[in-house]
Amino acid sequence: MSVLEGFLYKPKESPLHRLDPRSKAIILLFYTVTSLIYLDPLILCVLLLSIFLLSIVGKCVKEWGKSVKATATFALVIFILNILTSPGQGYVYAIAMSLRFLSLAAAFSLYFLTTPPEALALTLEAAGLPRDFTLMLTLSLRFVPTLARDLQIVTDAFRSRGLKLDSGSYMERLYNFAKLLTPLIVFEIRRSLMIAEALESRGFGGAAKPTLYKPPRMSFADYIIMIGGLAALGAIVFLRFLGFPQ
Amino acid sequence: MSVDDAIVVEGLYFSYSEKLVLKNINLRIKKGEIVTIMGENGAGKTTLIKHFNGLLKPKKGKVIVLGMDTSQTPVSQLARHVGLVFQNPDYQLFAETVEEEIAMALRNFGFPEERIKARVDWALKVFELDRYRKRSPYSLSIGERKRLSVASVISYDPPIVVLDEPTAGQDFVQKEKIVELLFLLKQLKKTIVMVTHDVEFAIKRSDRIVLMANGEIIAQGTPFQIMSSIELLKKTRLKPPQVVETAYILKNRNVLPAETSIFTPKDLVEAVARYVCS
Repeated sequence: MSVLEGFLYKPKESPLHRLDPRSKAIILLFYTVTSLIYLDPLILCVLLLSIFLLSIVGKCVKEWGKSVKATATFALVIFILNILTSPGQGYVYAIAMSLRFLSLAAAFSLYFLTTPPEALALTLEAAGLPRDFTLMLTLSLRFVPTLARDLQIVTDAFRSRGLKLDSGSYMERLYNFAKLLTPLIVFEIRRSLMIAEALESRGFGGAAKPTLYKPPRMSFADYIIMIGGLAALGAIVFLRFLGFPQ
Repeated sequence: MSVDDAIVVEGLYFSYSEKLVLKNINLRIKKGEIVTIMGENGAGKTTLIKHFNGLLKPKKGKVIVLGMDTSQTPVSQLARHVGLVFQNPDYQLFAETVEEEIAMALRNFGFPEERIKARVDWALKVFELDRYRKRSPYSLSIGERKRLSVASVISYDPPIVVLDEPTAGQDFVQKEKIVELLFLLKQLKKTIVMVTHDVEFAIKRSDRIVLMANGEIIAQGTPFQIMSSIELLKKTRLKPPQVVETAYILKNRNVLPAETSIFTPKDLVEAVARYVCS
Protein backbone atom coordinates (compact mmCIF):
# COMPACT_ATOMS: atom_id res chain seq x y z
CA MET A 1 0.00 0.00 0.00
CA SER A 2 3.05 2.31 0.23
CA VAL A 3 2.61 2.98 -3.49
CA LEU A 4 -0.83 4.47 -2.76
CA GLU A 5 0.42 6.49 0.21
CA GLY A 6 2.62 8.46 -2.17
CA PHE A 7 -0.49 9.64 -4.03
CA LEU A 8 -2.41 10.91 -1.01
CA TYR A 9 -2.58 14.52 0.08
CA LYS A 10 -0.30 15.45 3.00
CA PRO A 11 -1.22 18.84 4.50
CA LYS A 12 1.90 21.00 4.81
CA GLU A 13 2.82 24.69 4.66
CA SER A 14 4.74 25.07 1.39
CA PRO A 15 4.65 27.21 -1.77
CA LEU A 16 3.46 24.18 -3.77
CA HIS A 17 0.63 23.49 -1.34
CA ARG A 18 -0.50 27.15 -1.58
CA LEU A 19 -0.82 27.07 -5.38
CA ASP A 20 -4.24 26.71 -6.98
CA PRO A 21 -4.96 23.19 -8.34
CA ARG A 22 -5.40 24.71 -11.85
CA SER A 23 -1.94 26.26 -12.05
CA LYS A 24 -0.43 23.04 -10.69
CA ALA A 25 -2.43 21.15 -13.32
CA ILE A 26 -0.63 23.15 -16.02
CA ILE A 27 2.75 22.11 -14.56
CA LEU A 28 1.50 18.53 -14.46
CA LEU A 29 0.37 18.81 -18.07
CA PHE A 30 3.84 20.09 -19.01
CA TYR A 31 5.50 17.05 -17.37
CA THR A 32 2.98 14.62 -18.85
CA VAL A 33 3.32 15.92 -22.41
CA THR A 34 7.13 16.17 -22.21
CA SER A 35 7.41 12.61 -20.84
CA LEU A 36 5.17 11.32 -23.61
CA ILE A 37 6.68 13.11 -26.59
CA TYR A 38 10.35 12.58 -25.70
CA LEU A 39 12.01 9.19 -25.39
CA ASP A 40 15.51 10.42 -24.58
CA PRO A 41 16.83 9.01 -21.28
CA LEU A 42 18.78 12.20 -20.64
CA ILE A 43 15.72 14.47 -21.00
CA LEU A 44 13.64 12.10 -18.89
CA CYS A 45 16.37 12.09 -16.21
CA VAL A 46 16.36 15.91 -16.19
CA LEU A 47 12.56 15.79 -15.83
CA LEU A 48 12.81 13.39 -12.89
CA LEU A 49 15.49 15.54 -11.27
CA SER A 50 13.36 18.66 -11.63
CA ILE A 51 10.35 16.88 -10.06
CA PHE A 52 12.65 15.86 -7.21
CA LEU A 53 13.63 19.52 -6.74
CA LEU A 54 9.95 20.48 -6.75
CA SER A 55 9.27 17.86 -4.07
CA ILE A 56 11.88 19.68 -1.92
CA VAL A 57 9.96 22.93 -2.49
CA GLY A 58 6.75 21.07 -1.56
CA LYS A 59 8.38 19.67 1.63
CA CYS A 60 7.31 16.14 0.77
CA VAL A 61 10.52 14.43 -0.36
CA LYS A 62 9.95 11.51 2.03
CA GLU A 63 6.41 10.69 0.83
CA TRP A 64 7.31 11.37 -2.79
CA GLY A 65 10.37 9.12 -2.45
CA LYS A 66 8.10 6.32 -1.18
CA SER A 67 5.92 6.44 -4.30
CA VAL A 68 8.95 6.61 -6.62
CA LYS A 69 10.53 3.66 -4.80
CA ALA A 70 7.31 1.66 -5.09
CA THR A 71 6.74 2.50 -8.78
CA ALA A 72 10.39 1.65 -9.52
CA THR A 73 9.38 -2.03 -9.25
CA PHE A 74 6.83 -1.55 -12.04
CA ALA A 75 9.44 0.39 -14.04
CA LEU A 76 11.75 -2.60 -13.75
CA VAL A 77 8.97 -4.86 -15.07
CA ILE A 78 8.50 -2.46 -18.01
CA PHE A 79 12.24 -2.60 -18.67
CA ILE A 80 12.31 -6.42 -18.68
CA LEU A 81 9.17 -6.67 -20.85
CA ASN A 82 10.66 -4.24 -23.38
CA ILE A 83 13.91 -6.19 -23.53
CA LEU A 84 11.98 -9.44 -24.02
CA THR A 85 9.34 -8.23 -26.48
CA SER A 86 11.40 -5.75 -28.56
CA PRO A 87 14.98 -7.04 -28.51
CA GLY A 88 15.76 -5.06 -31.68
CA GLN A 89 15.14 -1.71 -29.95
CA GLY A 90 18.08 -2.11 -27.56
CA TYR A 91 18.69 -1.24 -23.92
CA VAL A 92 18.44 2.55 -24.35
CA TYR A 93 14.85 2.25 -25.55
CA ALA A 94 13.92 -0.03 -22.62
CA ILE A 95 15.57 2.36 -20.14
CA ALA A 96 13.73 5.33 -21.69
CA MET A 97 10.37 3.52 -21.45
CA SER A 98 10.98 2.79 -17.76
CA LEU A 99 12.06 6.39 -17.12
CA ARG A 100 8.94 7.65 -18.92
CA PHE A 101 6.74 5.61 -16.59
CA LEU A 102 8.73 6.75 -13.55
CA SER A 103 8.57 10.45 -14.41
CA LEU A 104 4.82 10.26 -15.12
CA ALA A 105 4.21 8.51 -11.77
CA ALA A 106 6.54 10.96 -9.98
CA ALA A 107 4.74 14.00 -11.42
CA PHE A 108 1.26 12.70 -10.56
CA SER A 109 2.44 11.68 -7.08
CA LEU A 110 3.72 15.21 -6.39
CA TYR A 111 0.47 16.73 -7.67
CA PHE A 112 -1.73 14.59 -5.43
CA LEU A 113 0.62 14.95 -2.43
CA THR A 114 0.28 18.75 -2.54
CA THR A 115 -3.36 19.13 -3.67
CA PRO A 116 -6.26 18.44 -1.27
CA PRO A 117 -8.94 16.28 -2.98
CA GLU A 118 -11.63 18.79 -1.90
CA ALA A 119 -9.79 21.68 -3.61
CA LEU A 120 -9.40 19.57 -6.73
CA ALA A 121 -13.09 18.69 -6.70
CA LEU A 122 -14.12 22.33 -6.16
CA THR A 123 -11.93 23.43 -9.04
CA LEU A 124 -13.39 20.80 -11.34
CA GLU A 125 -16.87 21.75 -10.20
CA ALA A 126 -16.14 25.42 -10.87
CA ALA A 127 -14.94 24.36 -14.33
CA GLY A 128 -18.41 22.94 -14.99
CA LEU A 129 -18.00 19.23 -14.27
CA PRO A 130 -21.04 17.51 -12.69
CA ARG A 131 -20.99 17.29 -8.89
CA ASP A 132 -21.49 13.51 -8.96
CA PHE A 133 -18.26 13.14 -10.88
CA THR A 134 -16.23 15.41 -8.57
CA LEU A 135 -17.63 13.66 -5.49
CA MET A 136 -16.64 10.31 -6.99
CA LEU A 137 -13.10 11.60 -7.45
CA THR A 138 -12.88 13.01 -3.90
CA LEU A 139 -14.25 9.85 -2.32
CA SER A 140 -12.01 7.54 -4.32
CA LEU A 141 -8.95 9.48 -3.15
CA ARG A 142 -10.12 9.88 0.41
CA PHE A 143 -10.97 6.21 0.91
CA VAL A 144 -7.60 4.82 -0.11
CA PRO A 145 -6.33 4.77 3.51
CA THR A 146 -9.65 3.27 4.65
CA LEU A 147 -9.36 0.55 2.03
CA ALA A 148 -5.77 -0.14 3.11
CA ARG A 149 -6.94 -0.45 6.73
CA ASP A 150 -9.84 -2.74 5.77
CA LEU A 151 -7.49 -4.95 3.77
CA GLN A 152 -5.21 -5.22 6.81
CA ILE A 153 -8.12 -6.23 9.08
CA VAL A 154 -9.40 -8.82 6.59
CA THR A 155 -5.88 -10.22 6.20
CA ASP A 156 -5.49 -10.44 10.00
CA ALA A 157 -8.89 -12.14 10.36
CA PHE A 158 -8.01 -14.79 7.78
CA ARG A 159 -4.49 -15.40 9.10
CA SER A 160 -6.07 -15.88 12.53
CA ARG A 161 -8.06 -18.77 11.07
CA GLY A 162 -4.93 -20.43 9.76
CA LEU A 163 -4.88 -19.12 6.18
CA LYS A 164 -1.29 -19.13 4.97
CA LEU A 165 -0.44 -15.94 3.11
CA ASP A 166 3.30 -15.85 3.69
CA SER A 167 4.27 -19.45 2.96
CA GLY A 168 3.53 -22.10 0.33
CA SER A 169 3.94 -21.98 -3.45
CA TYR A 170 3.13 -18.82 -5.45
CA MET A 171 -0.06 -20.42 -6.81
CA GLU A 172 -1.20 -21.35 -3.29
CA ARG A 173 -0.55 -17.83 -2.03
CA LEU A 174 -2.33 -16.29 -4.99
CA TYR A 175 -5.33 -18.57 -4.38
CA ASN A 176 -5.35 -17.65 -0.68
CA PHE A 177 -5.07 -13.92 -1.43
CA ALA A 178 -8.08 -14.23 -3.75
CA LYS A 179 -10.13 -15.38 -0.74
CA LEU A 180 -9.59 -11.96 0.88
CA LEU A 181 -11.39 -10.26 -1.99
CA THR A 182 -14.91 -11.50 -1.15
CA PRO A 183 -15.22 -9.92 2.32
CA LEU A 184 -13.33 -6.83 1.17
CA ILE A 185 -15.62 -6.20 -1.81
CA VAL A 186 -18.80 -6.96 0.16
CA PHE A 187 -17.67 -4.68 2.98
CA GLU A 188 -16.77 -1.82 0.65
CA ILE A 189 -20.09 -2.10 -1.22
CA ARG A 190 -21.93 -1.97 2.10
CA ARG A 191 -19.85 1.02 3.15
CA SER A 192 -20.52 2.85 -0.11
CA LEU A 193 -24.28 2.25 0.27
CA MET A 194 -24.12 3.67 3.80
CA ILE A 195 -22.21 6.72 2.56
CA ALA A 196 -24.73 7.23 -0.25
CA GLU A 197 -27.61 7.13 2.25
CA ALA A 198 -25.79 9.51 4.61
CA LEU A 199 -25.10 11.93 1.76
CA GLU A 200 -28.70 11.87 0.55
CA SER A 201 -29.93 12.37 4.13
CA ARG A 202 -27.87 15.55 4.24
CA GLY A 203 -29.33 16.95 1.06
CA PHE A 204 -26.83 15.80 -1.57
CA GLY A 205 -28.38 15.73 -5.03
CA GLY A 206 -31.14 18.20 -4.12
CA ALA A 207 -32.63 20.64 -6.60
CA ALA A 208 -30.93 23.72 -5.10
CA LYS A 209 -27.59 24.79 -6.59
CA PRO A 210 -25.01 24.23 -3.85
CA THR A 211 -23.02 27.23 -2.64
CA LEU A 212 -19.26 26.96 -2.12
CA TYR A 213 -17.71 27.40 1.33
CA LYS A 214 -14.37 28.43 -0.14
CA PRO A 215 -14.67 29.41 -3.80
CA PRO A 216 -11.37 28.64 -5.59
CA ARG A 217 -9.34 31.81 -6.25
CA MET A 218 -6.23 32.25 -8.36
CA SER A 219 -3.40 34.37 -6.94
CA PHE A 220 -0.89 36.46 -8.90
CA ALA A 221 1.70 33.65 -8.54
CA ASP A 222 -0.85 31.19 -9.98
CA TYR A 223 -1.31 33.34 -13.10
CA ILE A 224 2.47 33.68 -13.55
CA ILE A 225 2.94 29.91 -13.23
CA MET A 226 0.06 29.21 -15.61
CA ILE A 227 1.42 31.55 -18.27
CA GLY A 228 5.00 30.30 -17.75
CA GLY A 229 3.85 26.67 -17.80
CA LEU A 230 1.81 27.11 -20.99
CA ALA A 231 4.72 28.92 -22.66
CA ALA A 232 7.15 26.13 -21.68
CA LEU A 233 4.65 23.53 -22.92
CA GLY A 234 4.27 25.33 -26.24
CA ALA A 235 8.05 25.61 -26.59
CA ILE A 236 8.65 21.94 -25.85
CA VAL A 237 5.98 20.81 -28.35
CA PHE A 238 7.39 23.23 -30.95
CA LEU A 239 10.94 21.93 -30.45
CA ARG A 240 9.71 18.37 -30.83
CA PHE A 241 7.88 19.39 -33.99
CA LEU A 242 11.19 20.81 -35.30
CA GLY A 243 12.77 17.46 -34.53
CA PHE A 244 14.96 18.61 -31.64
CA PRO A 245 16.63 16.78 -30.02
CA GLN A 246 17.10 13.73 -32.23
CA MET B 1 6.69 -19.60 32.88
CA SER B 2 4.90 -22.38 34.75
CA VAL B 3 2.88 -25.21 33.20
CA ASP B 4 -0.31 -23.52 34.45
CA ASP B 5 0.32 -20.41 32.36
CA ALA B 6 -1.52 -20.00 29.06
CA ILE B 7 -0.18 -16.56 28.14
CA VAL B 8 2.77 -14.69 29.63
CA VAL B 9 3.56 -11.13 28.55
CA GLU B 10 6.84 -9.68 29.79
CA GLY B 11 7.91 -6.05 29.33
CA LEU B 12 5.99 -5.70 26.05
CA TYR B 13 6.44 -2.52 24.06
CA PHE B 14 4.79 -1.93 20.68
CA SER B 15 4.56 1.04 18.34
CA TYR B 16 2.85 1.81 15.03
CA SER B 17 5.58 3.69 13.11
CA GLU B 18 6.61 6.27 15.75
CA LYS B 19 3.58 6.19 18.05
CA LEU B 20 4.09 4.05 21.16
CA VAL B 21 0.87 2.08 21.65
CA LEU B 22 1.89 -0.44 24.33
CA LYS B 23 4.27 0.43 27.16
CA ASN B 24 5.84 -2.12 29.44
CA ILE B 25 2.92 -4.58 29.55
CA ASN B 26 3.33 -7.41 32.06
CA LEU B 27 0.52 -9.92 32.23
CA ARG B 28 0.12 -13.56 33.20
CA ILE B 29 -3.02 -15.48 32.21
CA LYS B 30 -3.56 -18.92 33.69
CA LYS B 31 -5.03 -21.89 31.83
CA GLY B 32 -8.81 -22.01 32.23
CA GLU B 33 -9.02 -18.41 33.39
CA ILE B 34 -11.50 -15.84 31.97
CA VAL B 35 -9.77 -12.49 31.73
CA THR B 36 -11.44 -9.32 30.50
CA ILE B 37 -9.41 -6.40 29.21
CA MET B 38 -11.14 -3.06 29.54
CA GLY B 39 -10.30 0.56 28.93
CA GLU B 40 -11.25 3.56 26.84
CA ASN B 41 -10.88 3.67 23.03
CA GLY B 42 -7.25 3.86 21.96
CA ALA B 43 -5.99 2.35 25.24
CA GLY B 44 -4.21 -0.43 23.31
CA LYS B 45 -6.57 -3.34 24.06
CA THR B 46 -6.93 -4.68 20.51
CA THR B 47 -3.22 -4.13 19.84
CA LEU B 48 -2.44 -6.25 22.90
CA ILE B 49 -4.69 -9.18 21.92
CA LYS B 50 -3.25 -9.20 18.38
CA HIS B 51 0.06 -10.16 20.03
CA PHE B 52 -1.49 -13.35 21.43
CA ASN B 53 -1.68 -15.08 18.04
CA GLY B 54 1.38 -13.38 16.57
CA LEU B 55 -0.42 -10.99 14.18
CA LEU B 56 1.71 -8.31 15.82
CA LYS B 57 5.23 -8.99 17.06
CA PRO B 58 6.69 -7.20 20.09
CA LYS B 59 9.08 -4.30 19.41
CA LYS B 60 10.55 -5.03 22.84
CA GLY B 61 9.76 -7.69 25.43
CA LYS B 62 8.22 -11.12 25.05
CA VAL B 63 4.88 -12.82 24.56
CA ILE B 64 4.84 -16.53 25.38
CA VAL B 65 1.74 -18.54 24.47
CA LEU B 66 1.58 -22.12 25.74
CA GLY B 67 5.38 -22.15 25.83
CA MET B 68 5.77 -20.71 22.30
CA ASP B 69 7.55 -17.41 21.79
CA THR B 70 5.21 -15.50 19.42
CA SER B 71 8.07 -13.61 17.77
CA GLN B 72 9.59 -16.96 16.69
CA THR B 73 6.37 -18.78 15.76
CA PRO B 74 4.34 -18.23 12.56
CA VAL B 75 0.74 -17.01 12.87
CA SER B 76 -0.58 -20.15 11.13
CA GLN B 77 0.92 -22.28 13.92
CA LEU B 78 -0.17 -20.00 16.78
CA ALA B 79 -3.68 -19.66 15.31
CA ARG B 80 -4.24 -23.39 15.93
CA HIS B 81 -3.86 -22.72 19.68
CA VAL B 82 -5.30 -19.21 19.89
CA GLY B 83 -8.69 -18.57 18.28
CA LEU B 84 -9.16 -14.85 17.72
CA VAL B 85 -12.69 -13.60 17.00
CA PHE B 86 -12.70 -10.13 15.46
CA GLN B 87 -15.11 -7.40 16.46
CA ASN B 88 -16.75 -7.04 13.05
CA PRO B 89 -17.85 -10.38 11.55
CA ASP B 90 -18.10 -8.88 8.05
CA TYR B 91 -14.33 -8.69 7.79
CA GLN B 92 -13.94 -12.45 7.85
CA LEU B 93 -16.93 -14.04 6.13
CA PHE B 94 -16.23 -15.20 2.61
CA ALA B 95 -17.69 -18.64 1.90
CA GLU B 96 -20.76 -19.40 -0.20
CA THR B 97 -22.53 -21.21 2.61
CA VAL B 98 -22.57 -21.02 6.40
CA GLU B 99 -21.24 -24.57 6.77
CA GLU B 100 -18.35 -23.86 4.38
CA GLU B 101 -17.52 -20.77 6.44
CA ILE B 102 -17.13 -22.90 9.56
CA ALA B 103 -15.18 -25.59 7.67
CA MET B 104 -12.62 -23.07 6.35
CA ALA B 105 -10.35 -22.95 9.41
CA LEU B 106 -10.68 -26.72 9.92
CA ARG B 107 -9.42 -27.27 6.36
CA ASN B 108 -6.58 -24.80 6.88
CA PHE B 109 -5.46 -26.81 9.90
CA GLY B 110 -5.61 -30.09 7.97
CA PHE B 111 -8.47 -31.81 9.83
CA PRO B 112 -9.64 -35.04 8.11
CA GLU B 113 -12.91 -34.66 6.16
CA GLU B 114 -15.04 -36.82 8.52
CA ARG B 115 -13.89 -34.76 11.53
CA ILE B 116 -14.60 -31.55 9.67
CA LYS B 117 -18.17 -32.71 9.09
CA ALA B 118 -18.61 -33.66 12.75
CA ARG B 119 -17.12 -30.37 14.03
CA VAL B 120 -19.22 -28.30 11.60
CA ASP B 121 -22.41 -30.11 12.70
CA TRP B 122 -21.51 -29.55 16.36
CA ALA B 123 -20.78 -25.83 15.87
CA LEU B 124 -23.97 -25.29 13.83
CA LYS B 125 -26.04 -26.89 16.59
CA VAL B 126 -24.33 -25.09 19.51
CA PHE B 127 -24.64 -21.69 17.85
CA GLU B 128 -28.20 -22.31 16.60
CA LEU B 129 -27.22 -21.86 12.98
CA ASP B 130 -28.28 -25.32 11.81
CA ARG B 131 -31.24 -24.11 9.76
CA TYR B 132 -29.00 -21.69 7.87
CA ARG B 133 -26.30 -24.20 6.94
CA LYS B 134 -26.86 -23.86 3.16
CA ARG B 135 -27.50 -20.11 3.26
CA SER B 136 -24.96 -17.43 2.31
CA PRO B 137 -23.28 -15.93 5.40
CA TYR B 138 -24.11 -12.46 4.04
CA SER B 139 -27.84 -13.19 4.15
CA LEU B 140 -27.78 -13.58 7.95
CA SER B 141 -28.65 -10.84 10.44
CA ILE B 142 -25.81 -9.05 12.25
CA GLY B 143 -26.38 -11.11 15.43
CA GLU B 144 -26.29 -14.35 13.43
CA ARG B 145 -23.18 -13.25 11.53
CA LYS B 146 -21.49 -12.53 14.86
CA ARG B 147 -22.43 -16.03 16.10
CA LEU B 148 -21.11 -17.49 12.88
CA SER B 149 -17.76 -15.72 13.31
CA VAL B 150 -17.48 -17.15 16.84
CA ALA B 151 -18.57 -20.61 15.60
CA SER B 152 -15.95 -20.62 12.86
CA VAL B 153 -13.25 -20.19 15.51
CA ILE B 154 -14.62 -22.42 18.30
CA SER B 155 -15.17 -25.25 15.77
CA TYR B 156 -11.47 -26.06 15.55
CA ASP B 157 -11.24 -26.29 19.33
CA PRO B 158 -8.39 -23.91 20.20
CA PRO B 159 -7.35 -24.08 23.88
CA ILE B 160 -7.27 -20.26 24.08
CA VAL B 161 -10.15 -18.13 22.75
CA VAL B 162 -9.74 -14.38 22.36
CA LEU B 163 -12.90 -12.35 21.74
CA ASP B 164 -12.80 -8.71 20.64
CA GLU B 165 -15.99 -6.93 21.71
CA PRO B 166 -18.19 -10.06 21.67
CA THR B 167 -21.33 -8.16 22.75
CA ALA B 168 -21.03 -5.23 20.32
CA GLY B 169 -24.26 -4.85 18.34
CA GLN B 170 -26.02 -7.66 20.23
CA ASP B 171 -29.41 -7.36 21.87
CA PHE B 172 -30.09 -8.56 25.42
CA VAL B 173 -31.08 -12.10 24.38
CA GLN B 174 -27.95 -12.51 22.25
CA LYS B 175 -25.80 -11.19 25.09
CA GLU B 176 -27.28 -13.79 27.39
CA LYS B 177 -26.45 -16.43 24.77
CA ILE B 178 -22.83 -15.25 24.70
CA VAL B 179 -22.76 -15.49 28.49
CA GLU B 180 -24.02 -19.09 28.14
CA LEU B 181 -21.34 -19.75 25.54
CA LEU B 182 -18.66 -18.49 27.90
CA PHE B 183 -20.04 -20.82 30.54
CA LEU B 184 -19.77 -23.69 28.05
CA LEU B 185 -16.20 -22.74 27.13
CA LYS B 186 -15.31 -22.56 30.81
CA GLN B 187 -16.69 -26.10 31.23
CA LEU B 188 -14.49 -27.18 28.32
CA LYS B 189 -11.49 -25.76 30.29
CA LYS B 190 -10.72 -23.09 27.70
CA THR B 191 -8.71 -20.01 28.52
CA ILE B 192 -10.72 -16.96 27.51
CA VAL B 193 -9.53 -13.42 26.95
CA MET B 194 -12.13 -10.78 26.12
CA VAL B 195 -11.99 -7.14 25.19
CA THR B 196 -15.19 -5.28 26.00
CA HIS B 197 -16.67 -1.93 27.03
CA ASP B 198 -19.69 -3.71 28.48
CA VAL B 199 -19.13 -3.51 32.25
CA GLU B 200 -22.18 -5.55 33.20
CA PHE B 201 -21.16 -8.34 30.86
CA ALA B 202 -17.58 -8.27 32.15
CA ILE B 203 -18.43 -8.59 35.81
CA LYS B 204 -20.85 -11.47 35.21
CA ARG B 205 -18.33 -13.88 33.71
CA SER B 206 -14.77 -12.68 34.38
CA ASP B 207 -12.37 -14.21 36.84
CA ARG B 208 -10.17 -11.17 36.48
CA ILE B 209 -10.46 -7.71 34.91
CA VAL B 210 -7.43 -5.90 33.50
CA LEU B 211 -7.78 -2.13 33.09
CA MET B 212 -5.75 -0.34 30.44
CA ALA B 213 -5.16 3.37 29.78
CA ASN B 214 -2.72 5.02 27.38
CA GLY B 215 -1.06 1.75 26.43
CA GLU B 216 -0.41 0.65 30.01
CA ILE B 217 -2.05 -1.72 32.47
CA ILE B 218 -3.16 0.52 35.30
CA ALA B 219 -4.93 -2.07 37.45
CA GLN B 220 -6.03 -5.68 37.55
CA GLY B 221 -8.05 -7.72 39.98
CA THR B 222 -11.29 -9.56 40.56
CA PRO B 223 -14.49 -7.87 39.31
CA PHE B 224 -15.24 -6.96 42.94
CA GLN B 225 -11.84 -5.28 43.43
CA ILE B 226 -12.10 -3.32 40.18
CA MET B 227 -15.74 -2.30 40.57
CA SER B 228 -15.10 -1.15 44.14
CA SER B 229 -12.96 1.69 42.91
CA ILE B 230 -15.15 4.29 41.24
CA GLU B 231 -12.03 6.51 40.80
CA LEU B 232 -10.30 3.78 38.81
CA LEU B 233 -13.34 3.34 36.58
CA LYS B 234 -13.55 7.08 35.99
CA LYS B 235 -9.88 7.10 35.00
CA THR B 236 -10.60 4.51 32.31
CA ARG B 237 -13.90 6.20 31.38
CA LEU B 238 -15.97 3.17 32.30
CA LYS B 239 -19.35 3.59 33.85
CA PRO B 240 -20.17 1.08 36.57
CA PRO B 241 -23.61 -0.59 36.41
CA GLN B 242 -26.31 1.33 38.29
CA VAL B 243 -26.64 -1.41 40.88
CA VAL B 244 -22.89 -1.21 41.67
CA GLU B 245 -23.08 2.59 41.87
CA THR B 246 -26.09 2.40 44.23
CA ALA B 247 -24.26 -0.13 46.42
CA TYR B 248 -21.24 2.20 46.48
CA ILE B 249 -23.40 5.07 47.80
CA LEU B 250 -25.00 2.83 50.43
CA LYS B 251 -21.57 1.57 51.55
CA ASN B 252 -20.33 5.17 51.88
CA ARG B 253 -23.31 5.90 54.15
CA ASN B 254 -22.53 2.81 56.21
CA VAL B 255 -25.85 1.22 55.26
CA LEU B 256 -24.01 -1.77 53.79
CA PRO B 257 -20.70 -3.29 54.96
CA ALA B 258 -17.78 -2.27 52.71
CA GLU B 259 -16.77 -5.84 51.87
CA THR B 260 -20.19 -6.86 50.45
CA SER B 261 -19.95 -8.04 46.84
CA ILE B 262 -22.89 -6.60 44.89
CA PHE B 263 -23.19 -6.99 41.13
CA THR B 264 -26.85 -7.82 40.54
CA PRO B 265 -30.17 -6.30 41.68
CA LYS B 266 -30.76 -9.56 43.61
CA ASP B 267 -27.46 -9.08 45.55
CA LEU B 268 -28.51 -5.53 46.41
CA VAL B 269 -32.01 -6.45 47.53
CA GLU B 270 -30.65 -9.26 49.74
CA ALA B 271 -28.01 -6.98 51.30
CA VAL B 272 -30.57 -4.24 52.01
CA ALA B 273 -33.01 -6.84 53.41
CA ARG B 274 -30.28 -8.08 55.77
CA TYR B 275 -29.65 -4.49 56.89
CA VAL B 276 -33.35 -3.84 57.48
CA CYS B 277 -33.78 -7.07 59.44
CA SER B 278 -30.73 -6.36 61.61
